[in-house]
Amino acid sequence: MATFSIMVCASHYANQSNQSALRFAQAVIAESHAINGIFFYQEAVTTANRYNHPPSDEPNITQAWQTLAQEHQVPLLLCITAAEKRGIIGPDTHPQASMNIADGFQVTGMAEFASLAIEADRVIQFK
Amino acid sequence: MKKIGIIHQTSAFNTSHGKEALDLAMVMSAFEQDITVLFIGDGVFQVMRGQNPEAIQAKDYLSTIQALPFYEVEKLFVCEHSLHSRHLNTEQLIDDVTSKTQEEISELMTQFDEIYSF
Repeated sequence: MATFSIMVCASHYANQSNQSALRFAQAVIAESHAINGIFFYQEAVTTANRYNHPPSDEPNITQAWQTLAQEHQVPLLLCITAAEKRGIIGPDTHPQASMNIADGFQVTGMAEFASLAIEADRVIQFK
Repeated sequence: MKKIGIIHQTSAFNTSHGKEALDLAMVMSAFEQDITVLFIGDGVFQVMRGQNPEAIQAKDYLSTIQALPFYEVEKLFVCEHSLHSRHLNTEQLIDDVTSKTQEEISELMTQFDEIYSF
């Protein structure tokens, strides 16, 4: 059994690789490996916008990540610097009124990712 | 300690990749990892000297790239082939950047525990 850290850099909608990261994470879990964290960096922080609202006949990637996190206790972590630059606001950064982070996602720092990546056996980046 | 390769593949300022790759390098260096930063393809434009980001109201993170050796990130390598194919040479680059052949870079790639590309 190996422990994976996954870094997602691609936008939730404009890039297929965000979806590929999700499918990879599902495969890792199905093969009984562990994931110590999914880190959303660069454009991928938009995945955590709770107002993402695709038409009903298109996949809802935000919801799919939330389901993965719920079912398998995988932490969904956002880079705070990348998130703030792109208007994704968590509970600790701005007044609650402007908070738009979706449930199940946490705002953390790059340092959190670095420590996860250092512990992991494998780090995979989806850009 | 892990051997970490951070690869720049895009030119400066057109996208945020250069800045965000640099942010990752800085944090990894704070964790005392063994970091190599590579400039390949259009990434070589990140290390050209004499750029003036203020002229386009951009943040000057290039000076931080230049300061990487002070953060103990001393392995800054540029791809010689990428330079030549863009009619550039090492004299046009900032200090502390060393050029490597494609073969040397291929060899380096096999040594990293983790590779991040931007």
